[in-house]
Amino acid sequence: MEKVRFPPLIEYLKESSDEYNKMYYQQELKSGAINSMMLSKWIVQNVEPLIIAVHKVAPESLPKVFKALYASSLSLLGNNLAITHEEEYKHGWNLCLHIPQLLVLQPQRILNAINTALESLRQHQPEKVLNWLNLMRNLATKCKSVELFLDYGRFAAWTCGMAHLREKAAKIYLDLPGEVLELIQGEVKNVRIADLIELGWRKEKYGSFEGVAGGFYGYGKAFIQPPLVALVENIIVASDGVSSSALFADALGTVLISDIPVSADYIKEQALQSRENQLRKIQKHFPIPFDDVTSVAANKSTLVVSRSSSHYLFLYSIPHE
Amino acid sequence: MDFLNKTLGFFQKVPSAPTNPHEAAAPERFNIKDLYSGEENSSEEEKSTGLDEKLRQAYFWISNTAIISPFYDIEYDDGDPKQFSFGDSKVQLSLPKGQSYSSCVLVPLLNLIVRGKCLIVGGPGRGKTATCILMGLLAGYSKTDVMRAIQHGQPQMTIADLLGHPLPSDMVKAEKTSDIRIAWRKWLGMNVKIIDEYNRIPTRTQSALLTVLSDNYAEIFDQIFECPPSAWYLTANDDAGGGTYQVIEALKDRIDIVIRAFHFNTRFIDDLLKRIELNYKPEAMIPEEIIFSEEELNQINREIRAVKISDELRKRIEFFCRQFEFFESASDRLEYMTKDTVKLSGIDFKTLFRQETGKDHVKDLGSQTCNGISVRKITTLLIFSKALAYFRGNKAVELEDIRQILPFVLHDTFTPHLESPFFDQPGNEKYRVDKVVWLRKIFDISCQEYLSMDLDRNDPMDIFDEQFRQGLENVSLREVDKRLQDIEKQLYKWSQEKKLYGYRADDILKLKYYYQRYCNYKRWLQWKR
Repeated sequence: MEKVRFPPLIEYLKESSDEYNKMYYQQELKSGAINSMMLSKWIVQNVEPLIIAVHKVAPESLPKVFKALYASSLSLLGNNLAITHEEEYKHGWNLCLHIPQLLVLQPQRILNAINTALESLRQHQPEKVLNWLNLMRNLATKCKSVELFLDYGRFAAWTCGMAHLREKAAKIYLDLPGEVLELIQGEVKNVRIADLIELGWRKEKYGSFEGVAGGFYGYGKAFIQPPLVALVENIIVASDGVSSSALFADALGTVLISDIPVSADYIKEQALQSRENQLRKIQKHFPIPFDDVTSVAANKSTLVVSRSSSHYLFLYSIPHE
Repeated sequence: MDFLNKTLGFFQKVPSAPTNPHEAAAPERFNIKDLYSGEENSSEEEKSTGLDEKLRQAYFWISNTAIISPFYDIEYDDGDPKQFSFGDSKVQLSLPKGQSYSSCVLVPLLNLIVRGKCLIVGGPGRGKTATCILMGLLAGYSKTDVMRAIQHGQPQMTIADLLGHPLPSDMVKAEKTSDIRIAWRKWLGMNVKIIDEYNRIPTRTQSALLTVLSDNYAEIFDQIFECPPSAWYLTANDDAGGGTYQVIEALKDRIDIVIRAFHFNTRFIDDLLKRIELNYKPEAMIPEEIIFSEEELNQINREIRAVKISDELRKRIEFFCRQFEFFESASDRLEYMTKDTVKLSGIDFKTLFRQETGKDHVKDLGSQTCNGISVRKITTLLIFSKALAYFRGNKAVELEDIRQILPFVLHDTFTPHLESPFFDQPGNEKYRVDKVVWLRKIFDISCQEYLSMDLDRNDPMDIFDEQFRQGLENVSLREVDKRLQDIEKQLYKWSQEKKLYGYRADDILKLKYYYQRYCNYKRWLQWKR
């Protein structure tokens, strides 16, 4: 079994062993036994370096930070996330090595934010998780407060395809320092962030087919039946008659958030009501090359079409007048 | 003189050969100490794993040298035992080949390490108090301390006799009760507490004893004395409460385990004679090697808790325990269909029992008792099963451990419903008299029923338990709907069964619980979005 070697940490653990054993038992009650070798390895490889970094800036905060790290470790190992996606969480937690002065202030909040971001990215943009981590590694050193760390995290997540964060990213963009913007622009190739913030799609491609979202449930996608789309409170929503989802899309990626609290019947009703109107309006700008369109919905930047022969939603960027 | 010394030395001898050799296994559960402890800890671990051997040595010293108790009623068998029948009643005697034990030595020893409350019942001169004294000595106290600490129940015993008294000078000077200092009795601070003939203590003093026994503190004049965790030993001449005073129900309920002191086997008068001639007193000759320090007892307690109970065994215990509380005639709501409801109503149990028609009362184990099993008893059963497995040098409990310890744990818990048709069956009359044999029998019947229902492989609850155990994190709305539907389907299936038994009632209520948890989660999920 791997052992921690940092003397102040050993000293602290000796004093508080009962408390930490109780925390472990509590987690064991919740999620079953955690492999003790895995837990020790995790603490030695991922927690101890952070504690050393924290000790350099604020030795008195060691107990507070260790408690947060230990609680998060138990939770991640208890639900096996830190085993299945070990590398991701390892890199994610390593971000804190660049911000020990912030970790000292709100350790639990920062760890929760990193863990949630990884979970969310994995769900919607699994191939972009490492991109986000790389970008955040560069951005972390620029963070002067916990709020900035969270904001940069959101902005970076948007650039990695989390389209539902575009609205928040737009607000963050207004206060983004030049050097940070430069760093992010360096990662987002061939497109100006300013354009995307404003319009969502690349200027030169307005009015063109941008891709698909959804797909058949049997292949691990979203819909059991060909879905219908509608615009509800300026958000594009879709339903297959069983569950409902919200669709967010821009040039950086597409996100379909499932199980939203809008009833499938309501979406169907809205979709069928607006179908003819929408079709007429859209066909003014460009013809849709399908003859089995079942519904159409559009917001300021995106047009979405559903078909009776497909479980996918078809996305188009809307030309700006 | 030399001969005498040599002979007495023999009594103090503890054999060096292991009593029940096993391979030592590394501890599995994570401990924060593992993160920083080095080599010095591993030697400690080695030392700690040897404590079960020390415990067995203590048992064998008591049973072979100290107490003449040639009764091996806790039987373990390695294979096919030789069996013989005797007399008209064809009483069976089996000769088990595995290591078997005497309950009146083993159970008090297990009680010492789990820090439980053990009641020893039996007629006068059966060695009840002697056993308690030996336990005190094993815990490291001197004979004088143990003798001084024994509380002898007698009809004139007051609360002050039991707990202590206020200092007379403070009684005169004090302006408020909190200024009065109390001279607490020394036994309250000891790790082994002995109450001799507890059924001779007056009712009011029994209530004071109850507070110490159950909540581990004593109170006089607003002053509190917090007692350390301790093993309790109580003795009674008559377990039916036939002493000078009736034992209050709450006090009885706090007793974890009950054993009966055996009679003396007259074929051992020879040994008795030897002891008289040598003036041998076992309590004066206890070998140092088998005396436990407080730290060792703490360590054993920790190690016992680490002994595993497999899912298969846990499910057998669950199946057994859930037979008894359910009582269909008590209400028209499943939640209230319990024997507790009947008890609270004051209506005669037997009258209501007769209204339960159509069920096979011989098959229904619940018909044999007037009450169910409390959480305290289930906890006790689990911890004593672990202790027995630990004592035998095992890292996991075996079915036989549960089977052997169960009658002693539930001895005073169940009030048998003697009018149950089960007791009228040919050959079952004896179960009305002997509780230990009866309790073991109903556990056996429960296990047979469990096997005949093939619940190890085909328990419908397994899938629901497994799904729920994985947690609700990241479970989609669609998945929740599916699980809710599955629960409804299962409940519908069970609703088609003609008779409702105790084991099924608990299954149904658990599914209702899952249903509610999923509904709450679903509501939260929708709100979150």
